[in-house]
Amino acid sequence: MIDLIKINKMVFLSIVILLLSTPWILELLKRSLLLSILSLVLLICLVIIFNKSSAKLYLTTGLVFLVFTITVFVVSFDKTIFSLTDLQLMEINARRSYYPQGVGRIFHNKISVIFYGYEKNVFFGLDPNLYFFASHPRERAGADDFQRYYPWLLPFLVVGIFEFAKKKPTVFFSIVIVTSLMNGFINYKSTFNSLLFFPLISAFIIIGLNTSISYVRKHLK
Amino acid sequence: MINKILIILILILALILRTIDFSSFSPGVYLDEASMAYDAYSLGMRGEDQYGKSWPIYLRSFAMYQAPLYTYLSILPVQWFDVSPVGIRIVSVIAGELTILLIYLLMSVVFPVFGKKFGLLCALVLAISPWHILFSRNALEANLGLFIFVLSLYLLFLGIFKKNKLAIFSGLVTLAITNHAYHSYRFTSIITLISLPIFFWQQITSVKKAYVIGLTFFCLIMIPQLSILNTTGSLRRLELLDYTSEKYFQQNGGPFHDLPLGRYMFIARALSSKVFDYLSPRSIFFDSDPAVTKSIQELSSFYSWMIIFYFWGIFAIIKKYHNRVFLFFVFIGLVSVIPAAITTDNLYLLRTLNYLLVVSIIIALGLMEALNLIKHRILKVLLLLVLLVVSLTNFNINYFHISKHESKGYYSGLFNEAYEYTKSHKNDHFVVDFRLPHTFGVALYVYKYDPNKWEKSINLDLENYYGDIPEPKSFVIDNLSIREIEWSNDVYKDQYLVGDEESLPENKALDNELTLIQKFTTDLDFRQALIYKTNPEQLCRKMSDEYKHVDNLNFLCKQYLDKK
Repeated sequence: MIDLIKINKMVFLSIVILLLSTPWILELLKRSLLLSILSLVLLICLVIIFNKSSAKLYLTTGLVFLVFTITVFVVSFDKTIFSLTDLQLMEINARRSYYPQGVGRIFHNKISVIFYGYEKNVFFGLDPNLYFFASHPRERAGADDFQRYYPWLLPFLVVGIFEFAKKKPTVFFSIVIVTSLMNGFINYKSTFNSLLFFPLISAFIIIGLNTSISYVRKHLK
Repeated sequence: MINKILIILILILALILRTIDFSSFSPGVYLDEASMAYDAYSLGMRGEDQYGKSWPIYLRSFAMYQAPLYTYLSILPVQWFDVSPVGIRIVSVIAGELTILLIYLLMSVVFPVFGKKFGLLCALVLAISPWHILFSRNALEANLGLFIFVLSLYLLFLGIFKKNKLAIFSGLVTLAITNHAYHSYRFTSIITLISLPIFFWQQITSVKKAYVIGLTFFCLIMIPQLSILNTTGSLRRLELLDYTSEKYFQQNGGPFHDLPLGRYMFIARALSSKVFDYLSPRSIFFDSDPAVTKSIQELSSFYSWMIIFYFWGIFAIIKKYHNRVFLFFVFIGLVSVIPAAITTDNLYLLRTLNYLLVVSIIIALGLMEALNLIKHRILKVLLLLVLLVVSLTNFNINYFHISKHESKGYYSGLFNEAYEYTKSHKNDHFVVDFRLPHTFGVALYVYKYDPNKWEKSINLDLENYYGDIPEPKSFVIDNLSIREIEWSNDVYKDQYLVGDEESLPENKALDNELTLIQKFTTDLDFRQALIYKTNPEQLCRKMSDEYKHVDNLNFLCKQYLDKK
């Protein structure tokens, strides 16, 4: 963060203002101050990790992530993936009849339904349209869809992802995989769905913006 | 030697997956397939399509103006295997098989540094990918287009890297042929033509004479399409660009109406959101294609586990393999999303097969990188076997069991079953009213109706074949009258009414004393094809008690009774 500030205070400030006016953080501030603070702290940790490496830093980030995740779970853990609705039960019974006697139970049971529900939550969290276009053009029925980031930030997200993956591949893949897997336990229709990705995506956008601005400044000189 | 054995095994596996339960998977064929089969039948019989046009540049079909190559190649199979699912789909199976072989050969040419193993992995990923199996099992021009496109790439790269002039020339000619296979290649082939010299300028300059001659032939092959460029037939697909029109913006613009340059911002948002929808991992690794006739229930274009190797492959390209060939493939893949993204349809992956092919290549790259980390050959083989078993089990569950039973309604299986019933009762008269338009195409297919009789009954102005001609609202095919049911008239005649739950609602059937004769339905019973028998005598008795003062009804009943 200090390095970022050192590059150009104005650049850093504009990035901060930009992110603070992002619809998502404003929405989050309205709903939960604690989660807003935790997510911003985690965001700062991730941006610092991009520029520095230390065991203490990694440990701190891990702890913040853990606290953040637990807090999100307390608020919006998806218990529904572990219980079956009447429609799902009807579907299981119907689908078991497509197989010879007894075989259907192996493929269509409570575990398969739970796994499918979990998978659904994971993959919905990986949809860029959720964050930049309020899930348009395939809005999710019953879900709390709103535009979390402005669409013009998307190219900077891509740049930020490339930069982070190139510079710190182990950290990058670890944090993306863990976040995705944890996100699977939050219902995709919930207000806090994909909230675990907020610090990550915001950090990538900041890095992308910073990289792009530095590149332009370098070539203008 | 081992590589040859492995590719043969992959091809055998692919063939099994594409042909098992082939003719009995769904009862009949989809509307488009029925139309293609009937056109192939008519062309084989008399050299003219169903409307009497001799070897058209685009096949009129249901005024959708299909690219003709698939139908032309199906003429012989339809003659050998009759007008049947096998007859019309076999071209797609063969195209799918050859695409797998070609991708193996292509990768060996463009990435010699990886040896044959990368080609084998690409072939394997393609062989087991749900999207490629599904599209190879159905009569789809896009699948044929993909095969011809991959063939053109193979020839072009053979020419570029081995300085083979004949290959360059053949590649350009083949690239031109893709335009006659599927509409989206009208865009993709031009982009490929423009981008090849940009990416591989140095290599092409060494074979530039052959390139220029090939380019000339490319233009010559395009002449038939260019000659009808300004007709409805040629521009029909562009009509799908509805969201760029002022009318669409007025109806759907929402908050953009109040913004300066709101319409352009609306278009930009629509286009970018659709492009990213195609690129989203959710769309290709989890969600089924919303076009239910072109998807497998609860299974996406790729298996979920492939996402790991997809991102591994992308990372490998960024970190290690940012060479021109990979960049070219990524560029072609991304560009091929644009024709699909500029339509109003949400996520229609059939229009982006080049993109799915590139994703398959990236997955194979990621898989190769992962396998390279494993030292012991036995562990590598074990990993591949586990992934294979998981994938094939997944495919078996979702396609051969769930989709087979639950997609019958979408695959026009119900229409096929209904028409098979009407065909087996030739002495009875049926009024057919399915709310889905163009089911007459399935009737023509099931009845193998004489194309000469059909041509006479339609009597299309062939001078205006590619023009905008209004479609008739009713058709007569043998013992069928395909039109909207006239409730004030049809129920007073001795006949059968055929329809679905929308055109033949239960309450109306009860009110008009109809008797349910047959009900064709899917396993979860959410779609139906219904056949009712009219009971004019019973109805008239009921009407005479209730509606003595309604002269028209009494007249129809009187007419019925007089006839009796």
